[in-house]
Amino acid sequence: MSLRVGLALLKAELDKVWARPILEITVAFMATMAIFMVQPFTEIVDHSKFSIVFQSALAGSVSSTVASLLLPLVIMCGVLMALSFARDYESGLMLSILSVPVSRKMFFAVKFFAVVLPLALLSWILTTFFVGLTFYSSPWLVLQLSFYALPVTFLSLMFCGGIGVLVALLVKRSIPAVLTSLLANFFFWFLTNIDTLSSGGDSYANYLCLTPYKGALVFLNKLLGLAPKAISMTDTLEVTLSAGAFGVLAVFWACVLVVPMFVYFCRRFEICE
Amino acid sequence: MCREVIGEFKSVTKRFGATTALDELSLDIHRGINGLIGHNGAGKTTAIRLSLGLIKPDDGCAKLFGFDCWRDSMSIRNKVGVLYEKLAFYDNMSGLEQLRLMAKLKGASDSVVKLRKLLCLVELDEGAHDRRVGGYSAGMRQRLGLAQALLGKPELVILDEPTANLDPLNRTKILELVTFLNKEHNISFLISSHILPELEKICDNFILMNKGKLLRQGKLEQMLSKTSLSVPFVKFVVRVHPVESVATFLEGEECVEKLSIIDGSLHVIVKDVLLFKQRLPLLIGQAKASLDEVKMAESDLETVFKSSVKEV
Repeated sequence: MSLRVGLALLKAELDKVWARPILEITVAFMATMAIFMVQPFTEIVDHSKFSIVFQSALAGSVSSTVASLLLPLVIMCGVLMALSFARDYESGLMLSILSVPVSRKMFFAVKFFAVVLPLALLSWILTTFFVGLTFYSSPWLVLQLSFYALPVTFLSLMFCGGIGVLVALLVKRSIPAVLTSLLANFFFWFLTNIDTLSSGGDSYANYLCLTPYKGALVFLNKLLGLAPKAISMTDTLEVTLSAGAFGVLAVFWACVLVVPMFVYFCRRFEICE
Repeated sequence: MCREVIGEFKSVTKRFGATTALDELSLDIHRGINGLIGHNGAGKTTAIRLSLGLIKPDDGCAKLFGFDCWRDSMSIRNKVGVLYEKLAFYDNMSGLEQLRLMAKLKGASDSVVKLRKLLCLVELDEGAHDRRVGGYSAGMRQRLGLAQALLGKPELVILDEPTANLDPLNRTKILELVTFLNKEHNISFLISSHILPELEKICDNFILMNKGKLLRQGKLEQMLSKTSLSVPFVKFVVRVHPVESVATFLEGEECVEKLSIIDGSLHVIVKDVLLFKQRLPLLIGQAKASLDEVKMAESDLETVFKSSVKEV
């Protein structure tokens, strides 16, 4: 019964959030960012080393594509999440839905995943597609490596969505919520793009690798077996911490806002618009 | 006859920052048609939302069908349908799809035939059933909202300004529908409206609120008898023939304060409304006159409401 209700609400929410032209804009935005990040494999290598170099180039392409997709993901997730909650609150739709026997838990989960899941899936599909275009000779390897991108983007989107929900539930107005969420998410995205070599070296790198999006990207690189590029010394956290540690960090960032917001929405949030 | 109480507020207080929306509000919601009356900002909407568990009371206890409004709100929402003044739908859906979604959410039958019947019951044109809700007029949205509130055979339907966007003809139809549903299907209603003469026609229990407090509650006659003590003047216009003979009889009446004949009609300022209503037919009979029309310058409910607010 509750599954049927949840699916019906999820479908309605997906149709609303991803109505034209949002889906088209998102795909175009993400495709534009992803298309330039795949490195064509043009290296001449010894036959015995080919598979290692090929796999490394493929993994590098997956990593750089995911990193480039982070900007459209952050923007779209921040905007859509804040808009989804704040607009429903403002328009009275939240009031209408929560006046029927729909639990707050279900309502929150449906609204949250109606934004996060399609974005995570889209980023995975686009990564696979664009990397696969270049490395078409090894489709299985492309699928295998790009699959690592799915949990990483999903966890990043959880954090990004958490900011969107936090802002929407505090501000409760569509436009201010969207702008605030956008700025907050952009700030965290910006941290991932600071060049640690030119801006102060390893001491900065130690902090930056623990930030939400950077941590998730390091986790992905470790999963893909890629070495850090922009670090001069070998005893920084990015090098010394294991993939598991960065995985835990990514899960921590994913839950740090969403879980308290979920609890707040279910137990304390009042609809008095 | 004392009707069953299905909801009660006991000393409920709700504050929003420095504003006290409900101030130790105590009221009963009876089985039947309840009218919720009050100025803008009297706390009606807050009381409605609180009864559905959308707002948590700071103090006091609110119950509906025996369930605590905040803790057991899901149980309450299974039994209650609601139409808000501010109507919101999934605008990308058709009216029928919207109703189907809400039927699923309420656990009611989502059979298209039944839902179309319900839309016809609230007089939403058949041509509009499959049109996008985003293109609906305010009146059509109101009807769709009403259909939504009636889904799943609720025991209580809460209507916040149900006739706000409707023309006079459709207002009457909605009110007739409310009366029909109450009598034939035993659905109780809690109607919040500023159009008091409409409420007066259909409600059997009235709840008067002001500044978050209960002013009065009960049947109109009870409130009117209490009010008549405190309201010095209630003006009636009586069209009788011959007007002079009735005026002669009325002059000596205890309940009449002042009497005048203007444009062939009797303008009577009454001290005791109930007594006047009892005496007038007798006096007309004694004067062997015929009554064409008798009306209050304002409705009984308006009189009660105004006098109650003045008293505070």
